[in-house]
Amino acid sequence: MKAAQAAVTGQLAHRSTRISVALALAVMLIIIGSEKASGIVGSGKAHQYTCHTPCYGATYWLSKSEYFGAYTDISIVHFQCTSTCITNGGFIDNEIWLIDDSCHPMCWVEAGYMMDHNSPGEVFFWYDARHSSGPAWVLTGPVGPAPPIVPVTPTVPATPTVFATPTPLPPTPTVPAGDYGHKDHFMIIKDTRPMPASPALYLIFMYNDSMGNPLGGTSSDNPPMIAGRILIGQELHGTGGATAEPATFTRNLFAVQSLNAKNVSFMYNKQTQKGTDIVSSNPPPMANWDIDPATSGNSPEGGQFSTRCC
Amino acid sequence: MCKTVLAFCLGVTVVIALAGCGAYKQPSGKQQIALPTGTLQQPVGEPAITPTSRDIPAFTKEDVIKYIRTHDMLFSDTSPSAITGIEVTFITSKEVNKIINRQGTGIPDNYLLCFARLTGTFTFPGPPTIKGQPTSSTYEEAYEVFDAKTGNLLMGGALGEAVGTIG
Repeated sequence: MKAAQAAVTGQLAHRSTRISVALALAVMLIIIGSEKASGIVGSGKAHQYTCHTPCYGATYWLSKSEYFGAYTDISIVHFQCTSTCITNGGFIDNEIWLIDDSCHPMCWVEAGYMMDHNSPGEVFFWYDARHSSGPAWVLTGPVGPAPPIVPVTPTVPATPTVFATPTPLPPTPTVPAGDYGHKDHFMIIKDTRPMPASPALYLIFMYNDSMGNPLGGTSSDNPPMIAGRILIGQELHGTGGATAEPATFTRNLFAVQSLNAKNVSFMYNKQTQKGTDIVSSNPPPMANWDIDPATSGNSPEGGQFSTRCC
Repeated sequence: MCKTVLAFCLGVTVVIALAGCGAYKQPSGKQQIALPTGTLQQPVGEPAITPTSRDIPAFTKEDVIKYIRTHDMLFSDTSPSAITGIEVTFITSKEVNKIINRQGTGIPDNYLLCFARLTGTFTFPGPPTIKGQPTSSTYEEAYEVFDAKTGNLLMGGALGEAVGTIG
């Protein structure tokens, strides 16, 4: 009798243990699932951040004289921000800046690719800031063949004719599919050729290995800039919803002379030291040096810096 | 004896030659990258205002105002509530360049654009300082430029001198 009772008790205990384990697993799975749904994984707030003023995962170098230009190869990766960035003004980008800290408050030229709340995809851009001319940004488009744009003769604005069903326009091209996973080239170079007696301006180029028609533009020349700092990395703005795949910054170079009557190429030296890192006290974005420029030699030149979010 | 002297002279010559080669200064090490060739592509921007007409301009001033009133300005800390006035004109790229004091946007001079001049309080953040501190400049006038044919947002920024700076 007692043996039978013991056997039943043992079976019940064994069964209870299995049920308890199963319940515990179920609870854990529910918790993990809900955490992922809310964007909070573990102890990190993966998709929420406080970047009302932009947050950075970046690094910079200072020159004792002048940087005549800046160059880096940035791998093209996927962002997520379109319609997910919590605030309408949210955006995320990977880019390079050429900065004159002596130009109060600051003058700079930057180039990179970004995504904001309203972008159809990753979009290339450049930005030129001078305190007397005001900041100015341009959204360019894809690196690679763009759909033909036929210049139109300006006309007196006509009274719009509203059609019941407007003809759909082709989708705006952004970064060509072939560029993802590859490194595109970002170059900012001082140019004194146009009018040697006038302040120099900066040329901005964004292009891929095909060396086809590049994206870019020309900066303002007022006030003149004497750049002494190069900054590379990721910028994040807003309060949540943005993500970025890991991206690398390689071939970190600086120009040793401007474009002039005798020089029409980017004459450079490579960075040979890690930059000074600027990483928000509460990441994201995240950034780090993968390959030290001091030991990378030409593989790659200027080392490898990487960013990711979130 | 002659052979000895000859050998000595030859040796000295070789030594001098080698020392001269060693003294040769290598090039400074500067390398170069060719500038990209080809024509700078005209900016296409990103979708903003949905065209409602096959004419150019393909949308109305009211469409522009509605867009600006409902979208934060890109690259700024400015919400629509900070905008007190909006003036919309359809002008050429050349005329826009003159207003914004820029020349090299990559848009042909005769291309028709939609220029929206904004008044209010506009704050544009800048890159962090050397010490990692945030920077920004505030302006009383700003602008956004749209493609008059596609409605795409092409450019934006501020006008005039900053009225306040941080950093």
